[in-house]
Amino acid sequence: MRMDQLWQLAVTWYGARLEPVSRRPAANEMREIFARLGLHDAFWDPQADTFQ
Amino acid sequence: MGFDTAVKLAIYTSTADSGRIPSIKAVAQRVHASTDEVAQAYARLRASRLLLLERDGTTIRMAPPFSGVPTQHRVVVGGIEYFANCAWDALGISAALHRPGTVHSRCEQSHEPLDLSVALTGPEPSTWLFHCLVPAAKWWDDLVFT
Repeated sequence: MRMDQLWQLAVTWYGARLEPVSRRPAANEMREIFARLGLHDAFWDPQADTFQ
Repeated sequence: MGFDTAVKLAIYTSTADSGRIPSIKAVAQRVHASTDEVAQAYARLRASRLLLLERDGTTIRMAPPFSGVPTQHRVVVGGIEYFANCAWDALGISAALHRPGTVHSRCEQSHEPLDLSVALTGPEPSTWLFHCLVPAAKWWDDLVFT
């Protein structure tokens, strides 16, 4: 992953982390976040059972 | 504001101010509660995957993007040194603090030292690549390894 992609990920993931309402993204939100960066495969699916 | 949120903010505010994740005693003082009550909040925050705790349940190993122990990923923001858990979290510290910073790390393949300036709009252009070894579904099986 390039640094510009990683920055987008960092901002999405942690941009509100110091605010009261912040929380970790849910599984479906994680899939959407990764998909926006072009990461669609099972490796980036937090609920994938491919890697048991 | 709920108790767990107050505890979470106490952890993150203290870490942002000092660069170091506070002890449970310091957090308890900050939220005017006992360490037992804070430990219970820690367990709930761990269940929400907002904290990673040491085995004692009272020491914070990770309050992502911040690390509770020194790591190879140092980030300097506003003259304060922070430790990040990984390269993702190294950028996450500037993102969380909404301040520019400098990442000091290394390439895991060549061990070459790496320094990267991060502006409010993102890192300077570079040829660095982030490599994630563990699939997302397994990250929290062993987050330190991940």
